[in-house]
Amino acid sequence: MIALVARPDVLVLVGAVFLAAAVEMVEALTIVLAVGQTREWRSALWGSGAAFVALTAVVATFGPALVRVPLNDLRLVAGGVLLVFGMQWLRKAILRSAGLVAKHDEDAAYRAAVVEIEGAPLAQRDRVAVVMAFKGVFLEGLEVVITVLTLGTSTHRLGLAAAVAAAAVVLVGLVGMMVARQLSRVPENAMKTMVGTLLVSYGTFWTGEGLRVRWPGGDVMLLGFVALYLGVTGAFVVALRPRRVRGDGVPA
Amino acid sequence: MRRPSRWGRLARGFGRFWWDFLVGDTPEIAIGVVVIIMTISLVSRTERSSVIVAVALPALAVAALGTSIDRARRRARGAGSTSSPGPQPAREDPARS
Repeated sequence: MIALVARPDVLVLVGAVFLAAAVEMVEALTIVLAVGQTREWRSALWGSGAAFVALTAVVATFGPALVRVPLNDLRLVAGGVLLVFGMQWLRKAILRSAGLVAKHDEDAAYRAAVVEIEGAPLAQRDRVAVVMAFKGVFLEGLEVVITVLTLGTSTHRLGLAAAVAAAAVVLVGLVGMMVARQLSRVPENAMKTMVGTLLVSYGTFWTGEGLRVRWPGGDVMLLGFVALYLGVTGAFVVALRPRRVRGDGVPA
Repeated sequence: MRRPSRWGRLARGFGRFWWDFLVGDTPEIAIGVVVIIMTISLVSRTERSSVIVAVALPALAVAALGTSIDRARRRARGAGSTSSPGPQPAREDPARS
């Protein structure tokens, strides 16, 4: 077991799936907490439960089918999807770290959900609450499902990827319920940066593998990509941060 | 005009989901990845075990990311300059957070 986890490809797989699931769970939990605390917990649990069932069905339907696709073709497609997906995460995290885009604010998301429920007519509030909880969990969960399916099937470790995602969801769920409305303290952007880095690293690696590129060093190259993209991310953030201006208006 | 069937609506919704997911407001990233795959596919036919391919793929990915960030930076600066004198962080679509 220790030998398995120590493998670079498994290490990156576990890290990427765990962090992606944790980040998305924080965002979903904010909406579920808003629904539960504003309206009633039964509606929040119905909506969340239905979303979990739907997401599990997506994994159960597409997972076994994807495993039958020839490995090189699967890795090329999964690599391309992960490159796009990872770059979108990384771009957003870089822009937020540099202050060019406002950081995702869980307190604001909570307030927006409360306003939406309280704005609905009294007779429809239960239905609105269930739909909101379902949408919140399903849409955030779908990103996790795509990460699990692409990473899990390409490494032929779908079970491990699903188990890691489930562990992250349970862990964040338990901690989140205990700290309730303090989810805004979670260092979401730092986690997003790490997920983006891991997804782009895996995307680069598999796109190459799918095109039959022989990487120098084999699987160890994955860790090299992680280091490279972390360095590039740091450089982009430093370059984009507004320069401090001295008292006389000249950049310091 | 005939309304699309239930399956037609489902197919359209499925297509729209993937379009929003992979292209959305960052078409330059999707285009960049297609260019990366085509370029590496061509280069790797002659340079399969070469270090050139190993360097070119991440270098192209960094270039695509840089292009997308530069596009976002220009948009953010443009939005900031029309509303107030200082650079203001732009708000993003909360659904794609």
